[in-house]
Amino acid sequence: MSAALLVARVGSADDLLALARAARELGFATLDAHAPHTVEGLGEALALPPSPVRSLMLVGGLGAAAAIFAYQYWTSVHGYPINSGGRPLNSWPAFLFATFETGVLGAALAGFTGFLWSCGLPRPSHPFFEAAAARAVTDDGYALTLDPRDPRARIDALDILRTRPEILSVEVIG
Amino acid sequence: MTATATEFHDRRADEARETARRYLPTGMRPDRITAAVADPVLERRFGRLWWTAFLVSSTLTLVMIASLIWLVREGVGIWGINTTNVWGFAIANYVWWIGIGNAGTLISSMLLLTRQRWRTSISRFAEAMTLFAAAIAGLFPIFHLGRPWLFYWLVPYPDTMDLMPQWRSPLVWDFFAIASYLIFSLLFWYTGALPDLATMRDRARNGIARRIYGAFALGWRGSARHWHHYEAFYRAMAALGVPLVVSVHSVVGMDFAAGLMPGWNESIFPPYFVVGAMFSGFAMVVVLAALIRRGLGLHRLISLDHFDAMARILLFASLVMSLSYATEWFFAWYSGDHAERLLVRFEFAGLYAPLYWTMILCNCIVPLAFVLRAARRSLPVLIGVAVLINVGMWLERILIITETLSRGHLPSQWRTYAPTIWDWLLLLGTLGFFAWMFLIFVRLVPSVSMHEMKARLREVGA
Repeated sequence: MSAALLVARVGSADDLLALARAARELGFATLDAHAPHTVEGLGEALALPPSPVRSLMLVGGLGAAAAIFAYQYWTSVHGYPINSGGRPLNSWPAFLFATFETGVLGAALAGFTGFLWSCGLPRPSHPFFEAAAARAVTDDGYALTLDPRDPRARIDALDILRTRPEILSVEVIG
Repeated sequence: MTATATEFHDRRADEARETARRYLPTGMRPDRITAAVADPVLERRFGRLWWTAFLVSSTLTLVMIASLIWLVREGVGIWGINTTNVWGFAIANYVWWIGIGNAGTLISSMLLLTRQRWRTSISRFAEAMTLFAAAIAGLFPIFHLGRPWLFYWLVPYPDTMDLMPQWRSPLVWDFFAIASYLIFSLLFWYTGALPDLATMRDRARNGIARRIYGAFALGWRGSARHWHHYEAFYRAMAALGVPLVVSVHSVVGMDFAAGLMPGWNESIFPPYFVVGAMFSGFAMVVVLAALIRRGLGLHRLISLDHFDAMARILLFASLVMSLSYATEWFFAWYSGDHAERLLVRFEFAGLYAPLYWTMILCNCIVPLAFVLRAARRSLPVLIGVAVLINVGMWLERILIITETLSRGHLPSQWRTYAPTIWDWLLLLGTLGFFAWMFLIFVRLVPSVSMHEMKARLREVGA
């Protein structure tokens, strides 16, 4: 099924929140909202599940830290032991520098990858870009999008939605 | 709500309004913000001033490249270092540049976590400053190796020489700290800029510009899902950024403190270096903010109140620096150690004493001007003091190295240090290279975070 998109443009972030809540109550499951900045409460209005990014960062960070620590331990004690001034081969306090830095790096890389993956980016082509509103939402525009053939919405939901006072204009793509 | 709770609530709201009035361009609509930040990049032709600065910095960049080529050809003997003063300018410049390089991410993440609204105006270019300065800093230890083409021996990989990096060596800690920090800062900066790059993509009229910005924007649509994951990621990065920066500059402090030399082997070094980094970095941010404000006409977005706030931080950092110096002197005396006491005497009355006194003047005395409100709100004074602070911090770095190495434990090894023309040319060249990258940055990337400014303005309902 090729995606069809209904783009309803509104004038402000508050209108966007109100419209998003109304559309969700009408049963639309294919909702998305677009804004030029973060809008507090929009995630709840659309009932977005919690972002997995931070869990990924925790796993990536701890994993990278554990791996580099194990590697330092193995190379120093078993693989390439060197007696440096009589210090113990397992000089674990000295190993913690690389462990911490690599752990943070691992978390950052896992987070960035997870962030892009969760957002579905990079995605140079998307039906939304066909809409006139797309250029506005990176400036001062706010828009709600949904699939007009959304099977989960009530039969006349679309007509009810179209009469909402917040909507400035509607475009249908695809 | 009880009466007290209402009062508290009202007071908080009043405070928020007051902060907004001072640090945010209240009454500016989102489209005006886009126009104010994006249009100078996309539309305006840059005048003679920019081109002059670009030509000068390009020339200095060539000087840097030439002096590096000559260095690789002739060896580190062209520098002023000798068998006693083995570090010289290279390591002093490294510490100075990484200090400036630490400030951007520290400022940006610390102020985000503490919800300082004035961060929005300065975070983007402060982070860019971080990237450029940290990249330059990384050059120095590599070229100081003598055989820079073998620097990859610091990477732990199974090789035919049957060797591994010495994990107990500060040089290896440095390598991990700087490599992690550079990649981390790049990701943090790029993520913050991603929505603004999409704005540039949609606003550019030129087809090539639209394609290039479009490629870097990765198809950002401002979707609620994008923002949802963005917030989760960006805040977590800020929370990781603060301890990372502290650890990176602590490792730089450990390069010294892990040695047994007088004046280096001190437990105060890691925090003392972190504050020093914040001090010189903030001073650099003040200078760059003044230039950007004037060059791009961002007077409403970067106001005198922002400079006032930064000057207060400089004043505070200056007091901490003074306390650190005093602590060093006190412990040299209190330890009763002959070499430590001799070193402090050498600092105040020895060969480099004029430089040491200049350093104290620049770092401890001059910033005290910021107790005066008028000084915090006068751009010429701000820039003058900020430049002097950076001179003072550079002197601190070079003096920490040369004073200690010139007067170590073994009197038969005492030698003095004097830089050569190649030391100066490389320092000058890197300054030019930094300016060169920054000049290109302001022409290509929005210098102020547009999406964040819009979000802050909505929060305060202005």
